[in-house]
Amino acid sequence: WYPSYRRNLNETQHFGADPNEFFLLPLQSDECLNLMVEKECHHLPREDYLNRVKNGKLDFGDRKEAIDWIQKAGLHFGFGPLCEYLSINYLDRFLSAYELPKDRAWTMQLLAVTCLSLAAKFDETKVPTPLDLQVGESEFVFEAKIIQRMELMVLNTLKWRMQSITPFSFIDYFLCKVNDDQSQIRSSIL
Amino acid sequence: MTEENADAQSSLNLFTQLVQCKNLFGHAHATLPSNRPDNIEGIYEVMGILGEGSFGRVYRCKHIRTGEIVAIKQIDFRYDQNAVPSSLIREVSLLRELNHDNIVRLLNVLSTETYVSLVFELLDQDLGRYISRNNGVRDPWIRKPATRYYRAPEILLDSSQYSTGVDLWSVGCIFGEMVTGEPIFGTKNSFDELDAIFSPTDLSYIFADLEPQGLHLLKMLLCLDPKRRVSVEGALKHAYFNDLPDHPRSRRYRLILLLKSLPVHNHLRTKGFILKANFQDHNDPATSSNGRVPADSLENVISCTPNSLPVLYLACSK
Repeated sequence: WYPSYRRNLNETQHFGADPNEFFLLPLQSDECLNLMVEKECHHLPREDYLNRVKNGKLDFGDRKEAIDWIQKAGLHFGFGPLCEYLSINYLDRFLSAYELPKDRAWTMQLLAVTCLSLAAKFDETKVPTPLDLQVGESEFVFEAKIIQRMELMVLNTLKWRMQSITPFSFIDYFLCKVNDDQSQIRSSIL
Repeated sequence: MTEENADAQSSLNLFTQLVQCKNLFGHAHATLPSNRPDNIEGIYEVMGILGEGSFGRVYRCKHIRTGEIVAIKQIDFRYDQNAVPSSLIREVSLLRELNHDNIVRLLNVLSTETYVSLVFELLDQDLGRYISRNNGVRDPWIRKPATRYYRAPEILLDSSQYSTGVDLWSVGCIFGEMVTGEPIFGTKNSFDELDAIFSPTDLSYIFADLEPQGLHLLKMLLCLDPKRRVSVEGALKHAYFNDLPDHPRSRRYRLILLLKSLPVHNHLRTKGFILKANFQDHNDPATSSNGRVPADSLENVISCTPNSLPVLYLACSK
């Protein structure tokens, strides 16, 4: 039943040359790669974000602190690397959408907790309650209700596009490519 | 771009509220009304109830300004201790990335403090026909969800070790249902379900109408041992799909769509999105207390609320 399908090295240069490829390599296909690249732009901070960080409109120190906390908390709960990556992705996208009030130190911490909470809910199996999530020596602890409101705000700001395309999304594809298009998954079927 | 600005503006307003009115956090002022509301957020006029479930309700609505008819699913998370439910986040995120003629389109998301309204295109009422041709036409939104019918034996046996294979089982069940017109393991409770699954049955007798290749694939999908069950990749490469492209209404085409809808992205597959999707149905006391029985996994991937699985594959029949 298994169709004989093995491309040689030369053929791999011709992306999408085989019309049947769409069906034969549905998840690893070049078409899939194109789609991911296309979608990725919806999951990135706005273009001027880097400039805003560079010219000091956005406090880089605050951002770093928030990311430090996300990493520590992620480690504490044993969250995977994708979860942490997503948290930071949400944080940057949110910050690029508008400015947090500068005189409220707690807003960045609230944002960090919220982004980690959302990423954990999206990607992790076991998700602590919003209260339990707030580990570490943070100056502020937020009520569940506040986190909930902030979650909705981040979700709406990011247009609920939480399934970000990340570098993790591309690993399989490139592993497969460097492996002469023989994915491990395929070999495990046989 | 203007839409984004408007969104940013409304977010900003919300944020100002958040900063200024701490008292607002103390109580929930907006809750899902017990009676049918006249309108939804002042944008849609409610014309009728299409369905109801533990998640909330689905209304048939009309956009007040444009007159567009839509289906609005309201998901209530008043009683959820974990703020916005993960099922909702996953459902909406996934729908936001899907853009296909055969998949029900999510048009908008409206949120209040305690519930979210998902605005969907209203499916053609004819869609109910293909799975219920023996029972007359049914409204796809109203069709009672029975996701247990699609649960793999390892889930029914309460195994904590299950993986993406549970979805392939579900696909097998739906495949069978496309052929026979009714749930192939449609029974009253989980024990009957197991009985039905484990009773020695000759699939070639039940699915006499099915082409031999199709039957072969069906057997591979409904393999009891999850380790030996065919994978998504394997299923898509099966000879049953060899001479595609096919007519979009055909069984094979729909089956491919369904298979492809499973692991949407690589990272979901490698990280075992499905494997990890053991969050609880927040309104169901049977599952929320100990998180023992995860919600049907295919359902989680497509959409995480009980009404959604039928909606997706009904949509696939379009």
